[in-house]
Amino acid sequence: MSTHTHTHTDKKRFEFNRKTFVTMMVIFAVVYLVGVGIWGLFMDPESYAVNYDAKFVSPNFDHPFGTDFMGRDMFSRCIKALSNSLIIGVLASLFSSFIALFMGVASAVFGGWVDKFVNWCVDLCQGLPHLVLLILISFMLGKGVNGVTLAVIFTHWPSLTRIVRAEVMQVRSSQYVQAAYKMGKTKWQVAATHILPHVIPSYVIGLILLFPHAIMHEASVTFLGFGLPKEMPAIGVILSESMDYLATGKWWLAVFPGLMLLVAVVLFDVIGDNLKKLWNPQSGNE
Amino acid sequence: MNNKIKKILCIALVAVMLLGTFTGCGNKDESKNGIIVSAGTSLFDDSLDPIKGSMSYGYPFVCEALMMANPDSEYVGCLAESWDMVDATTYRFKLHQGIKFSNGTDFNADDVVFTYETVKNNQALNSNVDLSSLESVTKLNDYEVEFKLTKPYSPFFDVTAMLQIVPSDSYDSTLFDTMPVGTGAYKVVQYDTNQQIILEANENYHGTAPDIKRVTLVYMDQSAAFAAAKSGDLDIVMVSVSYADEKIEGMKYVEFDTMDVRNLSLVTQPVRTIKHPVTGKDITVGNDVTCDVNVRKAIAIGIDRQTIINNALNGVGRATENYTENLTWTSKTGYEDNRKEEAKRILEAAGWIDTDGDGIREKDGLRCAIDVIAASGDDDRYRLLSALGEEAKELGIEITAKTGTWGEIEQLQYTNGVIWGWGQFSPTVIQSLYSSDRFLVGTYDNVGGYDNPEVDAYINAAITAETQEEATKNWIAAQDVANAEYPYIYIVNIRHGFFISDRIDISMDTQIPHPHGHGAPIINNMADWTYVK
Amino acid sequence: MNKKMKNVISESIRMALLLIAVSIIAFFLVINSPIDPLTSYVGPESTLSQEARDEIAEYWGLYDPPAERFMSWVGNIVRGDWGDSITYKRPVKDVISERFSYSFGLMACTWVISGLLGFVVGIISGMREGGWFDRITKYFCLMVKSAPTFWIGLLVLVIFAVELKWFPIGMAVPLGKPANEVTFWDRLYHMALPVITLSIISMSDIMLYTRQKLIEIINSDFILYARARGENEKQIVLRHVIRNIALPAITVQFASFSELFGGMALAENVFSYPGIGTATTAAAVNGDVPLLLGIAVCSAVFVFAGNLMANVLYGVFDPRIKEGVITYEHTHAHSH
Repeated sequence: MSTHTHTHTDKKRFEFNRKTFVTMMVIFAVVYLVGVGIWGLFMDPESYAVNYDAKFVSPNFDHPFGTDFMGRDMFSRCIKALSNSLIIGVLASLFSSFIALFMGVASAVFGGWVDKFVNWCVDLCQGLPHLVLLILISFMLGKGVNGVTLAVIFTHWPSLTRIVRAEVMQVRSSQYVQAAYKMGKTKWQVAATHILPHVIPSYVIGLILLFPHAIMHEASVTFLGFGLPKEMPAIGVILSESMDYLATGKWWLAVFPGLMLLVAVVLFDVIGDNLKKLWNPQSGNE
Repeated sequence: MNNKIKKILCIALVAVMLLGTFTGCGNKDESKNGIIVSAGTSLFDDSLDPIKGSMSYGYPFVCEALMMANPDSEYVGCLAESWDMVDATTYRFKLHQGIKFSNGTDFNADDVVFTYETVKNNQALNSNVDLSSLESVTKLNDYEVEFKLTKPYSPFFDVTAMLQIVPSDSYDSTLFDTMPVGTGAYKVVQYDTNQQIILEANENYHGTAPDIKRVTLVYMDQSAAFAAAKSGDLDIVMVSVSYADEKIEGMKYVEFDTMDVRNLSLVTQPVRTIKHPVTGKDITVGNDVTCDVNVRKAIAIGIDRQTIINNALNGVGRATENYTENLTWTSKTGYEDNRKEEAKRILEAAGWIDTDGDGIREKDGLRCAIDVIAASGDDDRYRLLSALGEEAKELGIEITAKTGTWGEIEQLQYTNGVIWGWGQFSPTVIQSLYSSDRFLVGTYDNVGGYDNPEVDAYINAAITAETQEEATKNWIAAQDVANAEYPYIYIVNIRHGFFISDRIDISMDTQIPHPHGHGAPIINNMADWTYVK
Repeated sequence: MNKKMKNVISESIRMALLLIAVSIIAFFLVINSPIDPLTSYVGPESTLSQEARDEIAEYWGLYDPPAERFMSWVGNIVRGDWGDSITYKRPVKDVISERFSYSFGLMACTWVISGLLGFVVGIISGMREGGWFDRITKYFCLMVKSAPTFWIGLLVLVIFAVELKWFPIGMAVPLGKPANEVTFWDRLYHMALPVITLSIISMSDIMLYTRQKLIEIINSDFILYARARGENEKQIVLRHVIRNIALPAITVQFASFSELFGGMALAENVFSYPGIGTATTAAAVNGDVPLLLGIAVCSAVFVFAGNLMANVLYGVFDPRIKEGVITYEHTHAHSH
């Protein structure tokens, strides 16, 4: 759209700056998310312990996010909750992405009925509304951490499977893959040595973009009461507790935890989108 | 293009504003829409059919019973004009004449006989009214009935206040689940499952016609109900006591005395697997920590109930070490609590010592730690439980607060602690709580497996007592013996909090002490409510 | 045309097979829950006699092998007997049809409003790529996509119902108004907040999709050609852009039924709206197996109907799609 003509060096500097900026963004996002995850993991439970002398303190210097009906410091509790969500989300996405990688590669490499079967499974999994399937699986497994984690694992692989499959399809027809077949390598060998490395970048980006889904769904299922138990700090639990006070002016109980979750999700998107740009500069359009 | 955007934006704005404005008109048509009451959701959970145990808390609603409780917790006649205990197993009731059901048919002895016989023949449908001791119910004449019992059964008077009468000629088991027909001041005109029950004044009512012609009971979460009250949509709303300090314009906050207690059940048996007496399946019961009476006693005397009430319930409610003090048949023997040092000594003497320095005691490698479950959906119970946990921690006992649905509690109650709520006029609750033969039989009865022949004997003596005095004596003795072994730890006799619109007078003089909140007890004198002129 | 018909028919058959498989999965998920099957049929507080319990167990074959149970369940469903809901103490069929009628209005409004709004805003911001309107709406949509539905619902509730008191706190009809006096406007008024919440959320997908497509098309050769021919912007939008984007956009809207349902379930819970979403959570809380199964099957039918429409539309209008499978990943981007 721009009609300006840049000199060669200008363009290079511009690209260099842009690249640095994007890299910085990614690093910042990663540091923030990993930081919160680790901070929460090693947090002393005393920091969000019950303190009945400080019920419903509005945000101040000591309690940046205020305190709740048991006088628990909401800042620490939110960090712990987000950390719990991040850990569960990352674990669930990882396992889910393994399923997706396996299914996607198998589908594209073997084709035929394997491909049909995988596609069928994907459609099947998307046949029930996502939330209903999550609730059903979590319900079957007796709710709690196990229930919600497994529910997220078993419901989040379809979209990534499609991405992986499409990616493998492209590589499959390339000359060197055909050459490898001609050299007598088995399909699995080709998949492992030639196809997989090419799929990895999109897989990793897909995986990163899966995290926010996993975290958001965990929070939703927990909010409805089928996920993490009430005694565990979790964003879904905190927000469903905040429902009790929504008419009493305790705005900090709902606003900050929701914002924390929102920021985390946005940052995962930032990482995913920017990695996409770094690895594949042609895809300019976001 | 720009014009187009503007046009679209304008249309959207106007649409939103229109939506906003027709809120103003026609929303508050006072006399026509009557009043709107949110008194908890439990009323919606069960059938409204008295035959199936509806409204068995001892006060009239759509249907009425022979007797009812008065503000002093005494029984007075409702459909019965007078009564007479001929001997220990024979009761006679003389009925009021000229009473009509809301469908216009006359009320007489046939309806009483029909109601009692139907319940007796379908006892399985009704877990609230126990007629197993009823031998026969006979019509002596149109307005007199006689009950014969198989053996003396002292709580029978309670039964006559709990079982409300349905019309013999129009009873329909399905219809009455939602639209019962009765002699009460109101009748159901619309029943929307888990949304609202619309009641209108029964024009055939035998008492003074109620001033408020339409009452709508709505199904709402407490938080939503409070918010709705704040925006002026509700006239009466039952709230958690944690809202006690809130202000709502045009409403005042009122608290009621109750016989509603909260206690903690602790399993008194060691862990073992037994055959379930009803299903015949293997079931694991028991808890190796709380089967030690010293642990139970340490919790009971060591915790500071008042602190728990202050922390969890906004300071509302009366600390109690036994069943409520509002009734004649309850034990009033209390004890001093917050005896932390003594509690610790008891635990140490029993071998519970903190060896690894984590603040929680152990004995033979077993941590002095238990899970306690509070029903999800009742946040006051969860708060109470959390505050209890903080007190127990000071004694070196870990109480992990959990929540569960009633279905889950049913599976966990024989191995873990549970926070319960009780409150009713009939002393049979003591039998449910302590009688050894109720263990595993009644769904939520004696979940701790408490087994003491002495208590069983007192309960039996109370039930078969020939006079109320004798029954009361034995009920109290049973509680005193059982409470000394702490199968339940009573914590608080709660109060029920309500916001009530300034335009309504709910006649505080005729309110009875409120039974358990599940029965929406504020409606006990609904016929006496008036608009403030 | 014949070929298209064939496509539609084969699509329908594939969907029917999937639907059967979905019900099998739902069935096994539900019956494998830790709640005792009998308890889940009669409810935990039931005081039914042992004989009555045995009768129910036998009628529903609760202790039969799973495969047999499934067959008898299907048999009952086919005969029109969906069982009784424990939560609502009414036949499951009645509960679902009543609740769905509430939710259907909610979803239909959301679907239309979010579709139209998303499409229009998408076109406008796409035409002015990089302008202030584009930037604001784009970031707004990205933000909304990243926020949990129920949180947005909470904020909307607090602002518009609790603080401003413009809208009711919840429910589908005015409290205390008998059914025969409830007007269409009453219903619409009570629907407003959940619809606004859901529309804001669902709008972002369609807006970003439309915007993206528009930018692609605007930069394509044939638009350059049209410009060269001297067509003005209005003509370009009307003649080329809308024609090329509207159908894919509608397809995307149809394919979003699954997310719409999930969002609705959350919104209904926040706004205490007595639809199928609150029934789902109530059923799961109470271990209400018959109702849960009924809802699972119905919601699957709902999603399949959407996907079928999407696939058919796509097959009919986009010749580039050869395989029956659509890849609309990026439109699925965020789903809560």
